[in-house]
Amino acid sequence: MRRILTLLLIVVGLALMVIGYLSSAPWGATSVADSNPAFVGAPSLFLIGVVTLLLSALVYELLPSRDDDRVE
Amino acid sequence: MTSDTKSRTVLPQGVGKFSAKWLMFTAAMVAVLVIGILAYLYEANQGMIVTGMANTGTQGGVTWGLYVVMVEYFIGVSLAGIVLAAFAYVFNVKVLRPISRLAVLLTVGSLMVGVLAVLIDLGKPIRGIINMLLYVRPQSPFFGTFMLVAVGVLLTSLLYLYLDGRRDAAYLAEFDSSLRWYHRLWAAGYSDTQAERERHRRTMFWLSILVVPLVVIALSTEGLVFGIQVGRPGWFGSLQGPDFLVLAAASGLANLIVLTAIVRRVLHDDYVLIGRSVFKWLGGLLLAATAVALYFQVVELFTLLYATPGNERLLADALLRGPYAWIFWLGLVLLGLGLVLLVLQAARREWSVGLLVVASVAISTSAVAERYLTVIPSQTHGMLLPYEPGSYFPTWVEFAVVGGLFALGALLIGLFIKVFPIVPLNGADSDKEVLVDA
Amino acid sequence: MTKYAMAVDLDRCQGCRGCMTACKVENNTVEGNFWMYVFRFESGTYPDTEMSFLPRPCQHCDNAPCVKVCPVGSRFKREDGLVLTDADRCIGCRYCELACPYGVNYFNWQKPDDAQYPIVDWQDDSLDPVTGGVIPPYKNPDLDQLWGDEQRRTAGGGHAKGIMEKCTFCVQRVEKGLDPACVETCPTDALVFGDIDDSDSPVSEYLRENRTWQLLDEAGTKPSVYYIGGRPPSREVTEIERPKATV
Repeated sequence: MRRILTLLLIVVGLALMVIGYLSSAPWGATSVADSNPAFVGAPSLFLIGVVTLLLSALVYELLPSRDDDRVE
Repeated sequence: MTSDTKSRTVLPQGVGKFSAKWLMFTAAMVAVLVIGILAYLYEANQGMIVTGMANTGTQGGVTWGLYVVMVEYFIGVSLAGIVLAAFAYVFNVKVLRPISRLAVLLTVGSLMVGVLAVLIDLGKPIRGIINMLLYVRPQSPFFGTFMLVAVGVLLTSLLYLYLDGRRDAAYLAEFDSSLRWYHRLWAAGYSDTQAERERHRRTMFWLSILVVPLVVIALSTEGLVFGIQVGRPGWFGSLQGPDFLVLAAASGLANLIVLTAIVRRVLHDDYVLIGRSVFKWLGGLLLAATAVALYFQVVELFTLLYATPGNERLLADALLRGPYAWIFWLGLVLLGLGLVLLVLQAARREWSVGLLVVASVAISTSAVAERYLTVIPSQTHGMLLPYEPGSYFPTWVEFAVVGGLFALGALLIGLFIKVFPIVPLNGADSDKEVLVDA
Repeated sequence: MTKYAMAVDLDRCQGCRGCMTACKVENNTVEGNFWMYVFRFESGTYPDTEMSFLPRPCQHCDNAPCVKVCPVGSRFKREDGLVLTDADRCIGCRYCELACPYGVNYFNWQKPDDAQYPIVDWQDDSLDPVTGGVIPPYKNPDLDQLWGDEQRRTAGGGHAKGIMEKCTFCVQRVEKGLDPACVETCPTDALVFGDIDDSDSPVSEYLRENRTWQLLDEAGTKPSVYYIGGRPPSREVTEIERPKATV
């Protein structure tokens, strides 16, 4: 449970960072005048990704133990 | 941690005991901070006209002034702490363990202050935060400043500080003190089982591994802000990133040494919590960083003296014998002085705290001078079109705001020391079991 | 496609700085801000001296360094070549000003109303018969409008405190099919403006028939302003007669 959640947060965080980065940069913009991200707020996705990634460490440590104590 | 009746109320390391001296220090810092805030409010109301800044070119001013200099300085200072703590953790350097929390705290404090200085420098600070969230472009180096420095490194350091302190918090939470709620909150249910220790060790290891490249990449963007500007003599060059990091390491270690010495004095601690061998380590590392920083400066100086292409000549003249000469040579002399003091101590294999502090102050001051010389002269003497050279001197408003920033940093650290043990407690259930020098 | 460009014929320029004044009237820029600027240079030693002039509007570069560094996409390049600042987007970080090798950016350091030229105390009641109660400075209402396909506030937006501004090639006039104010006013026709994608336009013709050079070519900015005659400025010249302005 703990490991799955942590891994999930890491994956989601990284994915959000990639999506946020790619949609912040004007890849495939058709016009030089296009100075906006693919959608307004795309950089926030990157930021949320960074936060999610770091949150995984917190979750890994702080998630209350139930049955996984005996596993480790 | 089995509860063997912790009815004691006296927390270790003077935590929760607000002495008269501490209150005086805090009052003084609050006063400086208030002056800074008032100065900033005045500036926010009148516009940045009340600073010494003006447009480059026809107005003959600088558009980035003392604020940006201090941004560079503060963010630079933040480098050393977290990297040192991570290094100590990964390689299990026990000697550095007592100052690891202080080191991370220095990173957190200087980063907060540095990021605040960025906001203060913006013409529209609130719009700055909103638009950064909505529109910030990866093509601009400020993406790195915002996403990686202000969010990434700062959050990582806070996380590091938090997780590393959980065990101590759990221990303190058993004391019957007025801060108990706070320590309980921090501990967040930590009960020091074997499984928890193992998990903690794993988390800290990976955080430490993650933080070093993150900090190096993030802080390099601070140098790149200048390094990628082809249209400004003195800035363009691949050395700006590494140069920033090297000076950052030196200034950060210097600040850490001063801070360690102060904490040691405050804790009335001789050899007990923070051993002398910490200074040996810090001194040695500072020596290495300063030597590299000086090397970089000499390489730069040599290039300036030997072959100066067209528009760089004006800048070189301004630096070497023009209006900036006194800062340039003073900075170099201070850096050299710091290095000499360090080398002497290293050669004698005897590290004196007093001498180390002197060397640290010299090196830190030199770092401010060097940041100043990176930011300012290229604006007044670095125009490619034949504008007349400009000039810049900060006004009282800028000095007051910068003073307020320093005070804020000092307050953050001072307050932390009073609510949490600054030296990690070694044995969680015995504050007598402390680290002893090897 | 339309691609706007400007030709500056230095052999015709007499350094009257009329363009600077026209720009100020059209764009209501505050004291000390010169979106259009004319250098007056002196070279040589007395008595063998020579004067030369160099008008310096924004170069509206195709590879604009200011556009690249803008963190929020406030500074952008339009399809028709104009490099403009979105007054609603700018956060006032002033990075564009440092990236620009030409020094064309002007930050609004204070409230524009406090920064206008204090020539006369216009609040004085005795002036009413002359001014009809209108208190200058006259504010061009077009500056606060949205322009172009993007519909962004790019003409200066009434000069808010704490944002960056620069020459817009008078976007509010160009959109109406007019020449920029500096071009319109130039008594010697030293400034020519138009569409270089249209081979019949006066500016295309001008560029075809003359040898041109560009300012700070080596910076790789690909400017949209072409100079004819004269020679690129060097450090051998001294700037004289700088406009006196307090900032």
